[in-house]
Amino acid sequence: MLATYAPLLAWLALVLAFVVGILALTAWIGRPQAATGKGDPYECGMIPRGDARHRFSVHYYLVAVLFILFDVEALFLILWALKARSLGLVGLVEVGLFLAVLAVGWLHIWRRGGLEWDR
Amino acid sequence: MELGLTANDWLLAAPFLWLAGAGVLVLIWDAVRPQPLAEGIVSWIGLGLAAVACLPILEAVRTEPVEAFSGMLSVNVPVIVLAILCLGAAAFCGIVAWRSLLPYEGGRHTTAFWTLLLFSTFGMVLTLWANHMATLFLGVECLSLPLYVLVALRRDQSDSIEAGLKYFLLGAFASGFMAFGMAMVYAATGDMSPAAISAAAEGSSLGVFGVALLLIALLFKVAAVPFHLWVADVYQGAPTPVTALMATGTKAATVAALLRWAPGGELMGPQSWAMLGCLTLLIGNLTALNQSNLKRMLALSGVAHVGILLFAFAARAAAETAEATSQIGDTLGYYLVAYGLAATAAFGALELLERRVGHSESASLQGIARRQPLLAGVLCIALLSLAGFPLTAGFLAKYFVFVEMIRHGLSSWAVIGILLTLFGFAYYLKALVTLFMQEPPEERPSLWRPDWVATMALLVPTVLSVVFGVWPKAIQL
Repeated sequence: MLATYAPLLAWLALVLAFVVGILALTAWIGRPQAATGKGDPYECGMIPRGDARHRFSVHYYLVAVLFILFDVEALFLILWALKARSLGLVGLVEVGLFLAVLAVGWLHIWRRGGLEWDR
Repeated sequence: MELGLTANDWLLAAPFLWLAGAGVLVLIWDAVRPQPLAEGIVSWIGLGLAAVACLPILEAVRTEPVEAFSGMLSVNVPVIVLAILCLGAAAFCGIVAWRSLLPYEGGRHTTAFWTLLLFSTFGMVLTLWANHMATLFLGVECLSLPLYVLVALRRDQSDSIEAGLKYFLLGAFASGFMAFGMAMVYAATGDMSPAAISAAAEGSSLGVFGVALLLIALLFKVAAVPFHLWVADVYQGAPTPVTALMATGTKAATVAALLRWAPGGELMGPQSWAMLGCLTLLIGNLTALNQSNLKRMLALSGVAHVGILLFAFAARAAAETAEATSQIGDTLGYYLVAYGLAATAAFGALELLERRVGHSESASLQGIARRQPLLAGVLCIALLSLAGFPLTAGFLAKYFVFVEMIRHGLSSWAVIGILLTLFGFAYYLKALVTLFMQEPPEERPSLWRPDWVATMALLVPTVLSVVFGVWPKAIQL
């Protein structure tokens, strides 16, 4: 029974030996030095500057919420698209009504200035 | 083009089409050319047409309940009467809010108020109609989400924000319970109609757990003890017209939903319902007794009323024939109409008095009857009806519930209920003493002016409270 797991055990031992070996090798061959920037957070190769604690415009959240709303509503279109042929004209009219109601909401947001970034 | 909709589908969908249509029209109107008066008129017309659309349904269900959309919606007579009550409460909320809430912050929330009012009413009617868990969830959410915003509409006042946040957090929690319960009931029975509730309640522990979760969510929505703690803060912090809508419309819709979706049988027998009702009545009365704010007092009196409604549930659980069950359904409908009328009149009168004295603390309402005899009179009749004084609808409503209890062998619980109701008279009479029999304080000059339209509108529920109290057949449940 346990014999079936022998390759796995061997593999585990190899992995452990590899990790320990590499660590030992780097400690032996490598020349550890306290270079500048080694402790900095990695930011896609860019040098991070300034404080991360910005004051975001509250407007940012409004845009985010609106995005989520319309994004989630758009999911319903996928469900309709899967069955578009069998639902036929009735389905098209129904999804059209749905989009029309959505468009009214969008129109309202637009006219009330919800989409203006620097307000 | 074959739509596949039957005549019944159109019949039951008509009120929704009017409400949603009016809501969308208000949004378009505001986007194209903002005009507060037009938006109000569109909303009132929408509410009126939805009520008119309920009348042919009422005719159709006189003989037997009507189903539509393959059983997703189903209505009977009390449900439609309650829907008309909800629509009336929404129209009344608009009238009372016209001079107080709508001009708030330069009237920039007018459109929000009307659309949210219409969609919330939509949710109330859908909750009443719902005969499938999907439509029930949709209705309850559609009812609650606009109300969270309406409660917090006065956004520079900390108590309004507090009320909105508390209501939102607790309500969202209850919605989670509801969805989880529905999922479990479906997993246990493979059915999402009201019949699934009793099947799940008698089956596996999974189904029982699901039914319990659903029950908790609905008891939260109707504000029964021990899920009543949000009521006082939310009712107090909300703008008073919105409180009137919540007390009337939300309560009617959710109690009717509880009636349809509550388990009976072994899981929740007559004794359990009666115990729950007794606890709700006792705690509602005890906490209402000690309130210095009239709005809080009315909110907690609403909790006590839920207690008596739960007594009717106990009678229903004890009833054996289908005829007796439907009779108790009518009793519940009558009770909700009586409570709704009295609560609408009470909160409406309180709103108009608040405008004069600034807030609803009873200390500043001392002797207000000298200065505002008409409003104080309306509040007096409303409070008497809430207390259950003879010749008002509130008395007959309580009487019918206790008669049903005695008829179905719950006499000892009925006696406890009657004693607790008499005990409840204490705080209603305390409020009346404050209003009528104390010296008014020195009044500071203010820019107050009477709102005659709202005052006239207040007379409608007040007069109806008395009419239904003397002539209960007028509702024709």
